[in-house]
Parts: sequence; C-alpha cells; structure tokens
Amino acid sequence: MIRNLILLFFFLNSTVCLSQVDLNLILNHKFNGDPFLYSQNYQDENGNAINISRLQYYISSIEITHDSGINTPLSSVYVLANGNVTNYFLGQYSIYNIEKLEFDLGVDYDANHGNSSNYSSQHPLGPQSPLMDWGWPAGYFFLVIDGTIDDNGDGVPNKAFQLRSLGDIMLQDVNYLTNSYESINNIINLSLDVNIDRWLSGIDLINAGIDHSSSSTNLNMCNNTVTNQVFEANDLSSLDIQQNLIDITTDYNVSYSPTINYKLNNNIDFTLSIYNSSGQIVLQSQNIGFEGNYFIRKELKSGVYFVFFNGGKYTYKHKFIIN
Amino acid sequence: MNFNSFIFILIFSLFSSFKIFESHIPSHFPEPYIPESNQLTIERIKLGKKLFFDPILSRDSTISCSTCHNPNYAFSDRKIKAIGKNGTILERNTPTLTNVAYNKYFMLDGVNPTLENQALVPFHEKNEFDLHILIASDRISNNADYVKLSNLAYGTNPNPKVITSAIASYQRTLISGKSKYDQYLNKEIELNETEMKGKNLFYNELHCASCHNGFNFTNYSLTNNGLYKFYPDSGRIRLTGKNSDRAIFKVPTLRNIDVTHPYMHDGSINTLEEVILHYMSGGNKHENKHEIIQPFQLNNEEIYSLVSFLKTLTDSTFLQNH
Repeated sequence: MIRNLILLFFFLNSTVCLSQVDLNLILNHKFNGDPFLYSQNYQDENGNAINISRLQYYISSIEITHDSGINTPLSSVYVLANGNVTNYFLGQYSIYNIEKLEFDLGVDYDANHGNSSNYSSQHPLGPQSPLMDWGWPAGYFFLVIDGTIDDNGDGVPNKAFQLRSLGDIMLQDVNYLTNSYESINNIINLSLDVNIDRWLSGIDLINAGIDHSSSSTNLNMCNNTVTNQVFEANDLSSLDIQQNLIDITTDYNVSYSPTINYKLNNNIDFTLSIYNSSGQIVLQSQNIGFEGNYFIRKELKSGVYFVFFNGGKYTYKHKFIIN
Repeated sequence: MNFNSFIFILIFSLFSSFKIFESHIPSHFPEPYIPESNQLTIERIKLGKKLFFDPILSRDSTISCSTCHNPNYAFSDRKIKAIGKNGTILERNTPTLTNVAYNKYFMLDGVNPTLENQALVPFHEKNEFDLHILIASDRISNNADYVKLSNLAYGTNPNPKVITSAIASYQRTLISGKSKYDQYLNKEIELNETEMKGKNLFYNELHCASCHNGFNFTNYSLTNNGLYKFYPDSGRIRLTGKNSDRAIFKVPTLRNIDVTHPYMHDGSINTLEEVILHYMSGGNKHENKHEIIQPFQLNNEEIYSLVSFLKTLTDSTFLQNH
C-alpha cells in the first residue's frame, strides 16, 4: 500500500513538473504600423519628422486567465520593457491555453514607494542605466519616451522632448487583451503589438520640452495606453519581420558611462567588446544575447570608442564618443 | 566554510555583532523611528559618517554630503540656494538635518518617504554628485577601508543598499536637544526676561506653535505659508498632480534656526526679523495658504523678544560635536 502511494506521489509530481511551460512576453514595438527602431525617423500624427531615442516602461501586476477560466497572478513579476527589446521571460507556470491577459502599465504603490537600492542591478526595480527611478520623489518612471521632433518643417527632428511620467496616478490597467495562445513544445509566447505612436496621440511634442513629472501631458500619454489601445494582441507573424532588423544606438543619459542599445538579427549569443581609438580593449562582456541594453559600468575618458558584437560568423560594429 | 571565513565570522560576532547603538536621546525627546531593516549599530554609523564627509561619492570628487550639510551650520550651508558640482546653483535652499531622524518624509516638499531613499537623491542629480550609484558602489569597493567597514556594518561588500543605509544611519544620530531652551525645560537654567517674553508670544499670543510645536518645533505638516502669489517652484504638485499640492512645502523644525539662515524653501528671506515681518503681513494670497496665517501687529521690542526666544533653540554642543 505504502509503496503504491509513493509511486503515485512520484507520478503526480512528475506530471506537475511536466506541465510547467516557459512563458514569454513578446513585445513587437511599432510606429505607425512599421517595426520600431531607435535609429530610424518616423512621422507623428501631424506629419512632423520624429525620432525616438528612448522608450522604456514598466509592466507589472500581470494576471493570466487560462484553461477555462483559471486565474494566475504573476504578482512578483516586473517587466522593464525597452523599445529595442522584443523578448521577455516571465517564468515557468502550469498553463496550457491562455484566454486573457491583464497587466498594469507602471508599478504598484508599494514598489513605487520602495527603494531601488534594495534590489540588485539585474532586477527591473533595481538601479538602472539610464535611470528608471528618480530619487527625488523615490518613485519610478512608469513610461519614458524621449526623442526629437522637427519643429521648423525641414524634415530634421532636432527639438528635444523628454516625457517621463511619474507618480501613482500614472498607473494604467490594461485589461482588454483577449486572444488565444497555446502551449507548443512547453513554450507559450504571449505576443503583443505595442503601437508607440498611439501613446503620443494628442501630445504637443514641439512644446512638450523636458517633462519629468505628474503633468497633464504625461498623464494624457499614459491614459492613451488604454483609450488608444497601445497594446494589441497578435499572432507571431510580425516577430519574424522585426528579427531581420539591426538597431544599435548609444544612450548618453549617463554621459561618461553610456548605455548601448542593441538589437541584432541573429538569435544567438553575442560577445560585446569595447575598444578605444588606440585599439586597446577597455571592456568585454560575454553572453549578452542578441538584444538588450548594455550599461557600460565604467567611467570612460573623453574620446572615440568602438563596440564590436561578435557571435559565430557575425560581427557588428558601432562607434560612440565620450565628450 | 574555510578557516579564514570561520575566523572572520567569529571576530565579526565577538566585536561587532550588530551592536545596537544607544544614541543619546534627550529625556524629553521620544525615541526616533529606526526601520527594522536598518537598525543602528556603531559600525553602520561609522561607515555612514565616513561616506557623508567623503567627496569620493561625487563624479569629480569635489563635493560630499557635508558640502551642503555643514555641521557648523546645523547641517545646512548658509547659502540662498545650494551650490552643486562646478559651482552650479541648485533649485532650493539646503534644509537642516537637525533631528532628521524624526522626520516623516523628506525633501522640502515631502515627496520622499525615507532617509534611505533620500540618500540616493544627490547621486543621480546632474548638478550634485552626478555619479551613478552602481559606479559609486564600484568606486568604494576598490577602497580596502570601505570594504572592511561595509562587511563589519552590513556583512557584505559595498553595494547601493549599503551606501544609502549607512548614510541614513549616520543622519539618524544627528540629534539636537541640548539648547538653552532644553536646559530651561530641564530646570538647569533660567531664560532671561526678554526670552521669556518671546516664549510667551510664541506659545500664547501668536500662532507660531500651531505649526512649530512639540519637542522638535514642527508638526511635520505640509502647507503653504503665503510666501508668494505665484511660485516659480511648484512644490509638491510636481509629483501628485493635485492642485491642492501646488506650492506646498514642509513645516521645518525651528531648532538651531538662528544658524540656518537664509530661510524659506528658496532662501529668499535673510533674517529671523524679516521672517517675522512676513508673517505679520499675513503673507500673499494663495489658494493653498494655511488659514491660520493672518496679519498681526508686533512692536520692535516684541520682535526682538521673539527672535531672542528663537535663539535659545541653538544647540552649540550639536554644532561643535559633529
């Protein structure tokens, strides 16, 4: 009898283990329906040329309805989404068929009034570069869109704007996403289109300026998340299109120690190497994946630097300057 | 565990053991709130003090916390507005750190919830330390003294949490309660006639003590004192977006007020006499001005008496011992 119970226990245990699937969030960032790249200019709703140099936002309080109405909250999962990054691993769960996805844009009250120093730099709520927490009010930027816009009709986006929404009132409940995602080979890819242009609808970007606050402009931008349905459920077809695009840019928010935003066209692990103009290597990091935001955690001297991404037979080169 | 690790832990346990630091809290003061996650120990205070005075935490190694929070001026700087990196003038007057352990929220508009969080602010301000906290952490990790102190204080190598926690720990020891007025309360000395007249005005005839009350001469509230009709600094509304928070700032402590001039969130008033004149005028009209601020009359002798009383709140021991 006891032997049978032990066998039953191991059978049930192994069944539970086998039912765990990798849950991935796929965020296909788009602008006016086209795949989004930092290095590319677009047009805003008024026909002005626009370039987005930084897009970051938090997704939290994720809840998944699956397998005939079962609700699974992913309460400890925080996603820091970046405009150049498509793939986010949410964890392993006992889920087969997803029926509905809900989440918040931003972070909950407790997290927002916590301390980023309490987390490691690998945690989305930990110290980031560029910063996602602002020490002054001890709160996180829920949504950041920085860029430049053409303000004189010459087709060149050169007037800077920074929209960085701050404060609990910015939190948005995204609860309209219903789509069916099935587990295939123990993997579920929750694929969403993220229409960046819809966040900016109705925003006077030419006069927006530098706005790091709970202003009505930032609130309108965050409210657009739901009213303009920035997030849309999709199938996986558009993911393939984005993976054929290369995007490498430098974020100078920390001027002496910038962040390299990269999206490479091969789903393989790359090694990043930074050289100075004399050809001396100043930094190297392995296994950085094929997309991400690499914070050069080193005080660099003024000069010209080159970043090399090496992965198998592929090599990409990028130049940046420290003034 | 190897032998070295064992010896380290043994020594750590014997001589450090996260000893609870017994700060010298005056008998007429309540115990300050110390978070469970960052209890005071001698080692933590020592580390925090070293960091507080060390310019290593600024990008160009020219300024430290103490550059603006100067102990000689009750941890303020006697400047209209704080001066940051490369002589840049910052947006606000430097607040005193006198009895900061008792504050319920931080920054002049009260938008920051803890001392640990507040300690992070100057690191990332471009005109202050301008040094990413991770790089600051790397810097002090290359310093053997800091590594040793960090391990003694928090049982780990330097990291952002160690830095902010230690600085907060040191700041919690900045207790000021030995002023002439405290000695009067403890029946050790008498106030002179002028000071007693000022005390009577402060507590009984005027409304000063409606906001500046209790052992720390503040009710810790957030309000508007009618300094301007239109404020260049919008105050708390910047975070909350609520009109009721427009131009709202903290009620500060009056302890050591004589040495922390100039006054107000923007350092726009130079002397205590001028501050009194501002309140005598009833302040400017503002939608959020506290209702208690109404015009009143004082003669010169009464103003002198009131200022004399405020000067009894200076704690020279506090100014000299840090």
